[in-house]
Amino acid sequence: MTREQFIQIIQREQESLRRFLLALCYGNQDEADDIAQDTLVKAYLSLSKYEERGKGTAWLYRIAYNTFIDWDRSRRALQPLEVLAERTDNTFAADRDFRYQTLYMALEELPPKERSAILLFYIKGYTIREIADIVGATEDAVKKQLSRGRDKLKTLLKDE
Amino acid sequence: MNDDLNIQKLFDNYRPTLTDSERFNQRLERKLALIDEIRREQAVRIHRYRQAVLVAFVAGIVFGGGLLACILATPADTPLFTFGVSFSPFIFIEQNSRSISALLTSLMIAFSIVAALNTHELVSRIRNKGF
Repeated sequence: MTREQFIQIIQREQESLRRFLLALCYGNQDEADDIAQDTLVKAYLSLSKYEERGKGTAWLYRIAYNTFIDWDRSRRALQPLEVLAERTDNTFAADRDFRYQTLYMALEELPPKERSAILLFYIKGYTIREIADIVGATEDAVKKQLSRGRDKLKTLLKDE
Repeated sequence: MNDDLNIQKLFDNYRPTLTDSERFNQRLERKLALIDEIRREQAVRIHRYRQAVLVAFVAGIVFGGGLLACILATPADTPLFTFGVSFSPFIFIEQNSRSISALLTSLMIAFSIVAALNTHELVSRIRNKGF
């Protein structure tokens, strides 16, 4: 597959991927864009695997999820704990889409794995089995993450 | 149940404004073009590397084979070389110079085959790494 063909395929999924990553980064456009770029570069590098897997997009979200988890891990390692704890809600206020401020604030409270499961389920409409495949966990673990995430979201959104 | 529906609705209506797609694509295309350039460079290097290994391999076989043939063609009762010293290990080597030379040449050929196979595997591994 040539670069042009890859870009054509990616253009169909790109916006959806960026929306998913934007929610995963609770509204931080710069971080979401950087992770999206890394994801697409990694996807380009592993094109042969994509060709073997057919036309589904789950492989792309698997790369995106792993890239996000790596990025989150390195961010935590680089940022002192005090800074993370003291970070105020308006840290990314300028980047956040005002309409989704409440949603982003609630998503920020969820651990990355629960947040990913919730977003793959509600935004992308993947089944539990597909999510388990994407995040590399068992179906039971995904069910628990979804249930916990859903409960937390309900509480957080009610509080707002 | 009602809360579940509300969550679903919330995400169904999730249509945030993204940063400029054209700029995003341009940035991505630049990165992909760089990857292609690195891939091309690497393909050229692998090709050159393979050619060099092939030449070395063929030269090793031809030279080694020729040498082996020459050694085997010499009269069995005449030593290939002499040290001119009456020291027992040297005398032993002189007496068995034909066999020792044939053995060393065979080892050289075997080494060139193993080196060529290792290099081939190394190149395959580099290719499979993604670039």
